[in-house]
Amino acid sequence: MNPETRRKIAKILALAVSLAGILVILGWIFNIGFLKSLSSAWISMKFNTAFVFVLSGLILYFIVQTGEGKPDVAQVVLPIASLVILLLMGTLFFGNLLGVQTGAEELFMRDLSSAPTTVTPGMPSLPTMFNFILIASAAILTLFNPEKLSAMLKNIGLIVGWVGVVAVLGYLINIPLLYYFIAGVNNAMACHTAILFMLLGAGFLCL
Amino acid sequence: MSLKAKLIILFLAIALIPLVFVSALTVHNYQNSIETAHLSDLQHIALFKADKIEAHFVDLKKNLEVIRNIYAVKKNLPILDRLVHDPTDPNFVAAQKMLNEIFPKATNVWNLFDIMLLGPQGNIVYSSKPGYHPEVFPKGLPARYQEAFENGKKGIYFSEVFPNEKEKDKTTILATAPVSDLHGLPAGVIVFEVNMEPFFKLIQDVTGLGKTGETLIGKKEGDKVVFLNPLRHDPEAAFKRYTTIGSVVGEALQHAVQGQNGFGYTIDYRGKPVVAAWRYLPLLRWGVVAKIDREEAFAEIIHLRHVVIILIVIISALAGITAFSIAQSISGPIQKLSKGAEIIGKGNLDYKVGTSLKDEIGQLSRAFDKMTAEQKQAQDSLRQTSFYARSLLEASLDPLVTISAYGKITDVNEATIKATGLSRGDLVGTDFSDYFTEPVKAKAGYQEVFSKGFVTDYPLTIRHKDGHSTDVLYNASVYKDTHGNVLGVFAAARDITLLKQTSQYARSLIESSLDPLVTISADGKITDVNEAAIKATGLSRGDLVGTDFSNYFTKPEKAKAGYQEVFSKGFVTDYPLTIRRKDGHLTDVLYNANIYKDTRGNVLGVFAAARDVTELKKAEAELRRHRDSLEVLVAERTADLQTANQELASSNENLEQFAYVASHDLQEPLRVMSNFSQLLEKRYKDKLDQDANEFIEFIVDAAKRMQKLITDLLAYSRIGKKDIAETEEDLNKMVQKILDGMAATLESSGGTVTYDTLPALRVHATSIMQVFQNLIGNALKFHEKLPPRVHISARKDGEEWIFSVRDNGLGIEPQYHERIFQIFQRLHSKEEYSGTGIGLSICKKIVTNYGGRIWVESEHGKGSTFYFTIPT
Repeated sequence: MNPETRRKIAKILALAVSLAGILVILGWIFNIGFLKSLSSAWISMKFNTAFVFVLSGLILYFIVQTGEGKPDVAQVVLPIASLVILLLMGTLFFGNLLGVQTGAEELFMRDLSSAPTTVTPGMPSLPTMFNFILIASAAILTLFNPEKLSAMLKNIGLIVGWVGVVAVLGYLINIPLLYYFIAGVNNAMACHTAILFMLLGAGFLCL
Repeated sequence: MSLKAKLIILFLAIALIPLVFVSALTVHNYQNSIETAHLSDLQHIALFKADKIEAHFVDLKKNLEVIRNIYAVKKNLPILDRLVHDPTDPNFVAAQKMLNEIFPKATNVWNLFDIMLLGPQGNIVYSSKPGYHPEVFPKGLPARYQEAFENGKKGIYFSEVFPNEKEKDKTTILATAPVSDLHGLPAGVIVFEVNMEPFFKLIQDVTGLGKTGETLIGKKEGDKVVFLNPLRHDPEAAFKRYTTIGSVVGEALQHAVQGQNGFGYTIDYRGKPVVAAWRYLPLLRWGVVAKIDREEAFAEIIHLRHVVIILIVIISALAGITAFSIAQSISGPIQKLSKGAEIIGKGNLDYKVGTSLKDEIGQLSRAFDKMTAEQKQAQDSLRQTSFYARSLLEASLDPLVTISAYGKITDVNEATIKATGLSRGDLVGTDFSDYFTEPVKAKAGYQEVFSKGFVTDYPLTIRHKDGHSTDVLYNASVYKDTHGNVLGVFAAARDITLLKQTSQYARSLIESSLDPLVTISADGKITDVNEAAIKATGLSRGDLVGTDFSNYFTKPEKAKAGYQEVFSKGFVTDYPLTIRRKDGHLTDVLYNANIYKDTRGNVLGVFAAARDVTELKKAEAELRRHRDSLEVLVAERTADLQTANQELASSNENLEQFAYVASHDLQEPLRVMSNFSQLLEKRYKDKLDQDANEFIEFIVDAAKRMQKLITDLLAYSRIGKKDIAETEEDLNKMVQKILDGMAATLESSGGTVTYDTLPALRVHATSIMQVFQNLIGNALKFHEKLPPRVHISARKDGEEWIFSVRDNGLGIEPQYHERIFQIFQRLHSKEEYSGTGIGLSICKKIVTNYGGRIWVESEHGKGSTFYFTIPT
């Protein structure tokens, strides 16, 4: 596959992820259940997660743009998007690790869902937050040295993608631990969150 | 997006995003905290009020229980019921008195409108306020009282709240309980008409509920909920305000009357958003709601939010100003540099962008100026080179054109303009292939250049605007930039119209030949043939071209040796070969072949012409046959001729002998005649008459001439005698000796004779001397006014010496150039020039005897040059 085709695929995946994020946000705003969670028995994708997926899609898209030698808008979008992701996910991630509810969990939307795999309402799963922090880091690294990042971006893509693959596998064979649910400790990763991570990972691998 | 805009956006984002995030988080957490506190308070209030209501009714129930079981009631109710129609009866009065001591006090203590006793039939037999009920119920118990009575017979019963019949602005409920007599038999029902005012006051207490908070109660009536107490914002609401179950308005009360307990954000009866807590009272089937307007509940949050927003706005403004200042300070010099670069990019290389800044941008600007100066220098140099290149282009008489990678013309020279009849403006930017009679071929041509890097001698025909065309050969190659990227094609056309005409002429010459003609390459392959060659081989031109020349002969090795000989020697002549035609027919030919070369002398191939000698060979055979018969004839004739020759030689010898003898023998009498006639002239001249003098003169003259004639004839006849030996003679000395002998003649004529260095030859001295003497003598003799000038020269030509005697005399007309060498031939009368007419004949005979030649080159009036040759 030639580089141009790969970049095109990465862009399509990026826009697909952003669009999916927007749909889930609409699901939260208008309380559309199947957009928030593919099954009522499963945990919902958190509003924060959906919002950050929109930003992550933009990050992937503009990393591709930078790779195509069009860094103009990317120089603005990438730092802002990565800053927002790091602030939000960093706060949640470290709050979760330290056992402190920072308030960022339901900053935008109150999570009233009652799925059994929910430990803390509004809190994304730890691997979810870790993946987003990796993606934000990729955006910052791209700004520093866009020409020699291909291998590192691929590694990030591999990690992000495999995190998603494992969770999807967990849903397929119904082993909650695989979708990162640890009762009383960590929220499960939503099924469509895992799928979107697979798409994002594939997008990064195309770079 | 400009650098400045990017910097401003990024600075603002970095400053504001964390600020907004932290502020939002703070407000959010504070709001959660306040909300939790309010909800907790409201829950407590709702619970407290509910407890109070329940406690009130529990007390009421207890009081009712006590009253219905006291002795006075059990004893007197049957009496009162029995004597109700006789109020004056002492028992009735006593019973009434006993009860009046208890009930009015209880009414006051317990906030009751009235305490009534009803008989088993539901008729009022006692009231704590005499006359009150007969006035209110003139037609007996109303339905609500009747219902309470019926239920009261079964046990303690609380009716719904309803406006008091007497005091319409007050509300009441009926609490009823069965009463039995002293024997335990049912005697009637006791009724408490409860004043709800104090109760509602308790409900309406807004302590801790701020300015908008309140507690309300309601009950379900069908699909509606009726508000039971006067409301803080609607004091007339009791029993008048309803809300429909399922509507948004009064949602909390709807939840409560339907048996739910809870709290949250709802819309109240006014349509205002509130924070509320609600509870269900199962005893009364009522709902209690404690609520407060969200606006008031979250006033602190709103205040905080406003403060935060104001702070964010102020910080945004400050951050914006700061971001703008920083962006300006960073991007300003870059913008200046960029603007300068733009101006310089437009061609103004004199523009300076250098700044005095000490940072990287300052260094860059100064480096930029330096680079611009160097670029200007380079541009000047490039311009000169360009002018030079342009001059070179224009100097060419061949059409030159440059083509872009897309086949568009980018430049042309004057010759191209002439060839197409179009201006440079019309040509540049158009497709190269548009100007040829075969555009597809032209396009294929430059595509070949791009793929191969060049084409040579690519034939095309340029079409002029006026319709005429020019045949050209294109030589083209790609040109590249310094990185090796192909920029386009440079194509030069050579006008080959004349060459084509010449070629066609040559072709027609070749084709017009009836002899087979063929050209062969250096490796022996046929490159071209004519029609005759096609006929001779029976093969097409296509079959022949490219094949080996030797394939078409009966002896290929000989044919090969033939053209190899041509390459080695440069030519062959009459090289015999036999062409084998396709059908087996054989043609004998003689090949004459030459190599042909290009203008630099490089051998390109062999041009071979075959002469069909079949007929010739036939003729030769015929000739050979004739020759054989002729040889026989010739032998016969030769024998005859030999005989005749012998006879002739004998005759000639006799004749020569005769001539010699005759001339020798004639000399003696002639000498006598001459001597005596001279003697006669000497002695008797002027002693006889005039006629005698003339006669003597004639005789003397005739005798001299006869003597001369005989001498010459004798000399002529002696030529060719073999008995005279040849000796090595220096011809310089010989000529000088002759001139010495002619000194008198030279003096009298005023003539001069010059000669070049002459060779020394082995000759018969007398005869060669005679040749020079005769020729010099003639040269001195035949002249007019000018004094004679004679020059003798000699040069070696191959195996012979060529001598010349040149004079400036009369000259000889061309028709006499042969005649003068014949014996006794004269061009002038004896009177004009003396002589016997034998001199040149002698010369010719002498020269011919040596195997040489003699001839004259002359023009009348321009002198003569006599040449003769002597083989070495």
